[in-house]
Formats: sequence, structure tokens, C-alpha cells
Amino acid sequence: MADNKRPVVNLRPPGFYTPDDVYKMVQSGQMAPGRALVHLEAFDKGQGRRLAVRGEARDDETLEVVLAELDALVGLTKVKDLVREVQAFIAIQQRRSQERLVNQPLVLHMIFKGNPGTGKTTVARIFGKLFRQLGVLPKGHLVEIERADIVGEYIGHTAQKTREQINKALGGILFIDEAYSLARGGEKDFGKEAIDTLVKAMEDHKDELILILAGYQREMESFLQANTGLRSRFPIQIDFPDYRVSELLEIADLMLSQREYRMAPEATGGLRDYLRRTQEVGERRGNARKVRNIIERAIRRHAVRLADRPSVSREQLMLITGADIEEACEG
Amino acid sequence: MKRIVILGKTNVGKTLFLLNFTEYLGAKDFTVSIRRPGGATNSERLKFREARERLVGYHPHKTQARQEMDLEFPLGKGRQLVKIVDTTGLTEAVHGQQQLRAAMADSLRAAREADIVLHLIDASMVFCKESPEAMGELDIQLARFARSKDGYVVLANKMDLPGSRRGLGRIKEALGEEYIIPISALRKQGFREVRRFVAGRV
Repeated sequence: MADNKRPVVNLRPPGFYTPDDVYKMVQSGQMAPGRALVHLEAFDKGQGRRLAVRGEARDDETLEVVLAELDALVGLTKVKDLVREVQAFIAIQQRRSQERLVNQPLVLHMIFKGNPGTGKTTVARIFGKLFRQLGVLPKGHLVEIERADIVGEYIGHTAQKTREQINKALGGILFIDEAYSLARGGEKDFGKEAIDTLVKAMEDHKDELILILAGYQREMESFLQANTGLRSRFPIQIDFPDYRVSELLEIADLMLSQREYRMAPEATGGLRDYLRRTQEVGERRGNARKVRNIIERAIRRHAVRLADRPSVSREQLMLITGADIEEACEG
Repeated sequence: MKRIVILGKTNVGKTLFLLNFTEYLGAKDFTVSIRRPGGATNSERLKFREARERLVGYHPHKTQARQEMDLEFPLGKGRQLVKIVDTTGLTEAVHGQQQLRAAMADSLRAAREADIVLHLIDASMVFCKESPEAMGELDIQLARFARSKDGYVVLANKMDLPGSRRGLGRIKEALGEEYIIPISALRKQGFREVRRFVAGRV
């Protein structure tokens, strides 16, 4: 799973819209003009640099900007619905407390189930910012960890490492990828100690920490079954389905247009065929990261192809051909 | 050359303001280049009377492309060349027609390129919430966006119509008093203040 960790370039780093993306979304009807102005304002304040520093939520990211960011993600309709639910729930809870009605404590620990490249980390990061804007989390940053970050080598080591990570995540979200690996080693493994420490932290820091456990669907299921106490502590479970071919193509288009490239029709066709083929084989289907890697390779092929030409037109500088895509798909 | 961009909701009187204001500034005729969203541009030279007939309408979305005019802006004794840009009116919601959406996207582009923003609001329709030209969230967002420009001013238009004084009060409440000049583009009222405002910033 080498490519599962720390992607080289984020497909859509949070908040990263160029003004051209915004115009495009207005044109295609994905964004109303008013919201576009909010984005453009944020962009101009940032003076051409990224709107959001990776992970850290920023003050000028208003709720509207964060929601627009979520809306801009391809697919993920269930996630978007859930966000509206959570948003409504929080609003009502706040109003209830104004009326001095009994409030249930807001428990927002979550489990994300899905294959690699289906948007789990991206959504987690957006949730962080969203909860900060809704006043649920003071900071809203995302700390992304895996087994090796918290499981130690000797007795007592694990609890210490785990607490360090928890302290780092206080005020934000602690995101544990492939969470089931914590239970991997059986009874004697230190992973158990990590889980216990995490559960304790969930109680101790109820109001300042949200824990998200993520991983493959099937492994997560058996992990939860084996640790029955865990399931009840995570009231929100979200499935991240594999992307459909049409959605993957949309992602590819969006990614290219952000970089001011576009695909020739035969390139789109080639990519579609490739995605369909891999879909049938069942090997890494529906993986947005895979598409991103293909597009990045295609952009490099495109550069190599044109580098030696004496003159290149503007059109050629933008156009990814069928051959570029084909080579990129082959790896 | 400074770019002065006229922005606002649909049917608030942007094009009429452009025509009458440039005439007021002493332009002999209306030399406009019309830029379609696709990039096609054509230039025309019209008499003002003719331009008003052709380019100004009673219904929303009369202007569906960016209209630019280079103009010698009178400054004391001298003149300064400026570009004044009229844009397609914006709407609160996503519009159903692709062509208009493309034109609105271009208005946003123009907004970003602007040095000076003249933000028109229909003062007579402020309280008609359901009509497309009524002041709304979009105007607030536009104001927030444009305040960082060299020049930003709200032109409360249609002050010749009934209800506009009350509307003006509401606009001041919503956007803050210091940015607002009441005008009537039709009657060329308030143009002296607009000219003074622009002259100080080109």
C-alpha cells in the first residue's frame, strides 16, 4: 500500500480553488455567483497562495467556504447529506440550550469505511474545518496517524506515544488510518494498550477531540465486532463507496482544468476504457488517487513529448493526447 | 489604465448608468467593445440615443456580455484614459440558462480585474424580496469582496422612483453609510459625486 500514504500532490487540497475553477463552477451551475464572490474574496486575501494551509483551519474560511469545498467534491452524496444532518443537529442543540432544554452531549466520533482513494482523508479534513466553524471544535485541525505512530515497543511506551498524539490532536480531529491494525497482534500486542488509551481520551476530552477511525470496509467490520465496546462509542459510520467510472472521469477533468490542461476526446476515451477494464478486474477500482497518479504521469509525458519541439502552440501546451494517457495508464 | 467596473444584480440599471454617465463625462458617442464569454469581441460606435434604445431594457438580463469602453476621464484641466466596464447582472441563485451563467462568470472575472468597483443597487426595489433585482445576500457578498479595491462605492440607483428613499435607508443599514451615493441613472442625478469619487482614484 505504498501509494496509500502521503500522496505527492493532493487531488484537491482543502480550499484550493483558483479563480478559474470558481468561474468554471459558476458557468456549469455548481456554484451561485454570491458564493463565488466569497471564494474570490478569500483567494484575493491569500494573494495567490493556497487558501488553506494543509490541515490547519483558517479564520477566513467561513462556513460558506467550507461547505462550498465539500459541495465541490465529486460524488460522496451520502457524506454531503450527513453533513447537513450534523449541521442541523448542532444548530438545534444550540437553540435548545438557549431555551434551557436538556441537551444530549454531541458525540461525533466516526468510522469511515472504504477503499483507498475514496476520499476519507479529504472528507475528514473538511469535517475539521466545518466543526470549527460550527463551534464544535476549537481548532479543527487534522492529525493523521497510523499504527506505527502510537504503538510502542515496550510496556508503557505505547500509552506515552498515544498520549502524545492525542495531545497534538486536542481541539481537532485525530484520524487513524487502517485502525484495525491496532488489533492485529492479538492479546499480547501493544495495540490493545493503544486502543484503551484512545478510549480513555475520548471520555476525558469529550469536548475537544473527535476521533475518526478509517480503513477498508471488511476489516473495519471485523475490527468492530471484535471490540464491541468500540462500536457504541462511534455513533456515526460512513461508507465511502468506490467511485464510478463517470465520477473518476469528472475528477480527471477537474484536476486538469485546475492546471489549465484538457484532454483530447480520444484521451478521455482511452482513460474511460482503462478505468472500465480495471473496474472489471476488480483491482483498485474506483480509486481517485489512481486517477490522480495517471493524470500526473500524463502531464509529465506531455511535457517530455513537447520538450524537443522547436515551436509549440498554446493549444498544444494545453492538450493531453490519447497517447499521453495511454502511456500514463501503462505506468 | 485603471479599470472601472460596474457590478450588481440584474436589472438595477448598470447599462443605462454606463451610457448616461459616459455621456455626462463628455464622450461624443458610445464606442463600445462587446466581449462575449467565449472570447469573441466586436466593437461598435453608436449614438447615445441609439445605444439607449438597443442596449437598455425593462426586463432582467438585457445585458448578456461584457461591454467595455475606453474613455478620457476629465480630471481638473487634464484627462486620464480609463476603461469602464459594464457587466452582466448577477443573480442570487444559479441561473438555469448556461449562456447567462457563462456571462455571470465573466462578470466575476471582471470584478476581480477591477481597480474601482461601482456597485449598483436598485433603491426602489429593496423591499420587494421576491424580485430578482431586490437587494440581497449577493449584494452583501459583493460589498465584502470589493471593499479591498482601490475604490469601492455603492450607487443607490433609481432614486427618481417612489419608495427609493426608504430603500436607501435600508441599504445604508445593510452596507454602512460611508460607501453610498444615491443616484438616478435615468435623470443623471448624483453623477457629480460619482465623478468626484472616481476622479480621486484614477
